[in-house]
Amino acid sequence: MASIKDLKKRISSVKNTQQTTKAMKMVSAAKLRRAQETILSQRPYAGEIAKLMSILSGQGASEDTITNAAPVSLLIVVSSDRGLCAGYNSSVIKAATNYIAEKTAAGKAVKCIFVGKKAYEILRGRMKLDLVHYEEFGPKIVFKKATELSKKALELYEKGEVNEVSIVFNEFQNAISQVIRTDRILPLEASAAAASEGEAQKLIHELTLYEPDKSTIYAALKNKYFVVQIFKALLEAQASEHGARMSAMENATKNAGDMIKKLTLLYNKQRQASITKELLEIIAGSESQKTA
Amino acid sequence: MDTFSLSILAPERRLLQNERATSLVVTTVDGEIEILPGHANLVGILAPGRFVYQAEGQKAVTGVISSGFVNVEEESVKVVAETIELAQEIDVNRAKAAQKKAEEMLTAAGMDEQTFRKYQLKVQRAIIRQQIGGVSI
Repeated sequence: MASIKDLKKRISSVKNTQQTTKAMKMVSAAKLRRAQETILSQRPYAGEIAKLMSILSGQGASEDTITNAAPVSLLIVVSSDRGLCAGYNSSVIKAATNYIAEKTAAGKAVKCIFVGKKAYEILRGRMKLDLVHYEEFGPKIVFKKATELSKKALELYEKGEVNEVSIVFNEFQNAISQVIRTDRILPLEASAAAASEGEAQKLIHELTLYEPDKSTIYAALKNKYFVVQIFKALLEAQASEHGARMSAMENATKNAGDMIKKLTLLYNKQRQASITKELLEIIAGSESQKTA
Repeated sequence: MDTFSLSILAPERRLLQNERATSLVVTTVDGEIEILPGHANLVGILAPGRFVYQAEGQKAVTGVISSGFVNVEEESVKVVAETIELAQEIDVNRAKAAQKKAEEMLTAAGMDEQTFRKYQLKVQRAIIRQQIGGVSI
């Protein structure tokens, strides 16, 4: 059994840990709020780009698929730079591993782009990766980052070195739940919205003026749409990370509290025991004097 | 007076969302166009350049966008741009410095077409920003 002194030490050390986790939780909560605001503020922009896409793809400015591309998939893996966020990174790693295994089984090679340290460091040790690019997730996602990433992916795609691009990331549901997603973002799927468009709507779009012309706009828009999708994924991942860390730290704080309670009880019991023991000794001593 | 609903959006900024406006001037790749209420449907690519909008009952506001699209649909007009800067936010000195730097890069030999184009665009943007920023001061 641990001595009273040891118990005291342990209690104070757990208390310290609890303070750290509490602080981390608060920081994550603040960051989460900001990340959510960013998601909300880019939503109208993304919505508008998607709408333009559906107008144009419904207008016969159709997809020019690169047919003679190599059967290689490009996977963009989005994880975090730091740990202490529960299952956040491990779910990314699992999904990426599954994806690679699936493609390899189908006879396709996989090239990878990594954003965020964690997944990269672990997967690098586990398997041989065909790495195209790696960068840290960074403290804050800006649109420029998405632009640069998409440029790298598009370059490969246009050169015909890869014939599809997917992204694996955590989608933000709410502060306590994140859902892992693997989305294919290139080649673009024929927009479902355009297909289900009514006759009246179609007529309106046919009467629309295009400046300079449909195919030029479509080409420019396609790239922007791609960037927006990557940007969205990065923002979702950012919010998810903070959400995951917040709930992980909340649990840790709670667990530390439980542990402190248990240890304090043990400490008090031991203290009481030692007092009782001392009393007994004193009483026994005085008794023996009396009889003598 | 007739109005239309105007949104000016960037990924990191919402300048306007569904506000009533009476006029909008934007620079498309083919030149400057003005959109007034009742304009035909239009989808266009925007070049780096100025935009001016007039919200209902207010003074005209000028700014610069780097690139983007304009979508006129019935009575709603949407501008989606990569970046938006209002005239009063432009730092003329910074634009000047950017222009100088980009011009220096351009004079250096041995770059591929893409990089050349990139710096050309940089110069163009810097000049536009100086023009618009200078006017408002």
